[in-house]
Amino acid sequence: MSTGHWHITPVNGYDISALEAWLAKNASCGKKFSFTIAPFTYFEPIEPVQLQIHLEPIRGKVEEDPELSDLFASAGWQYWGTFRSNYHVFATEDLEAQAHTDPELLEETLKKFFRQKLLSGFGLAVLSWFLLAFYYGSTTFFSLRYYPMQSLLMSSWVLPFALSVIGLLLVDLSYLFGLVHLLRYRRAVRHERHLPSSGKNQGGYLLLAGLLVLLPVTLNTLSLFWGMDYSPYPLEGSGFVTLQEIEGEDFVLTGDYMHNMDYISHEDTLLSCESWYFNQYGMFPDRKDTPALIVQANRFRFPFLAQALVDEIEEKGAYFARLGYYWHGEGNEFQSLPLPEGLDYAALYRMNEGRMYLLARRGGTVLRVQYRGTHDLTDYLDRFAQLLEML
Amino acid sequence: LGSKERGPLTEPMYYVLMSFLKQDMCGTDITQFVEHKTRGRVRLGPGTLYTLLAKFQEEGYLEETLVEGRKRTYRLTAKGRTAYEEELARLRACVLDGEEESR
Repeated sequence: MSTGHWHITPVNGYDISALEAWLAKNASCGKKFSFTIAPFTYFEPIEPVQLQIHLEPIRGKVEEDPELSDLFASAGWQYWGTFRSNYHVFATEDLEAQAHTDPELLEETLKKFFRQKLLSGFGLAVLSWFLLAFYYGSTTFFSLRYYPMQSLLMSSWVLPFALSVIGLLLVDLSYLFGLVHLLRYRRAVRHERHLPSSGKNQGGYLLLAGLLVLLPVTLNTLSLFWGMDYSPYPLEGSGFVTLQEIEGEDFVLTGDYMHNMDYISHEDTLLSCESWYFNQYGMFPDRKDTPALIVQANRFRFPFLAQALVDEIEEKGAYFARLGYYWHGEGNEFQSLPLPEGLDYAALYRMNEGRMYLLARRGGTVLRVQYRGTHDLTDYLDRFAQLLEML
Repeated sequence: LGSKERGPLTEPMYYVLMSFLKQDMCGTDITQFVEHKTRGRVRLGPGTLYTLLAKFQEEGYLEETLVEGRKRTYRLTAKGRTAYEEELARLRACVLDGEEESR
């Protein structure tokens, strides 16, 4: 038993004459239109036959209208289904048959259909605006300019925003071209001209490209709405170095929950890198001499991206102090560290007032540790290497 | 549609209204009536007839009287009859004008 065929709809969904010609061509190749899903069309196998196809714009309900099918059936047309909630599809072997015999009335019908689609276009524009607004995050274009790798790779909004802009542009363009096709068709009907289909309209691929670009953004957005992006886990057994491990067991941590995390914050979305965050502070966290530890890690899908981030941080080393709220100051001193087993890169930045910044990379994972206190972070390099191995 | 503001009815519109003068009709009855009446000169495509029926209902020229399975039956309203008679008067005037000028 032969099976059906899926095809990408190559023509614009509002180019009526091109669509009719495409469906008729498929029928002549033994493929009967059945239904559509987004930019795809499904065909059932039939005996190859020369047919005339007519697309009747849907007014109101999308389901088959018995009266409409009956009227067409009595004129020799067979109902095949609906095309994208836009048209009822009819076919006849009579190549001279006319579904519409009053051009004035057809023009009026097309005018209403065009208005409907124009309104939907406004709906699409509003939807586009919401999606773009959703991803237009707090990170500014300033940071994108000066820290492109950090902004592009680690921010959860830059990549989805860029993909949304591209995808929506393609979809909106496809829609706009469709409206232009509809206008041309209407004009041809008004002047009782036959609008021949060149068969070269490939506008359907524009929609496909737009939807493909928007697909990861949609998945990303859904995972954000359902909270699938955030999965914290307990500090105990996590392998993270703690402030007490550095300062000693007797060291008293602040009671402030925000500054004394007993869990590891962990996020992972489709369009941003996987990230971990952990911090601990001593008593009175707002004081400049209070010991503190902030550990951040980011895993990239490709190690070269991790290296690009390390390069950027190294390059911006002179301005490094800007990166953290508590870490501003001058007098940074860069020190390349001997690599323990498993690490591909390690460096330490010593700043004034006992502050340090450790940067390490293992494969696609970058670790950044900020510390303020009396101890030396290099003493814990092996522990950080172990942590990177565990992540 | 059919009123003085909207201009004259098209031929299919005129004949569809005419088909209801003597009895209630369903879609296929209308097609047969028009074909018979005009001896095949005026053809009513199924898309045109469907659009017209919806439009005439919307304008209050027709109203649905019966739904039997896939078949719907309609009747002419007073408003529809007036529209038809106005069009008939207009056509008569056109013919008279033409004949007078030809003499």
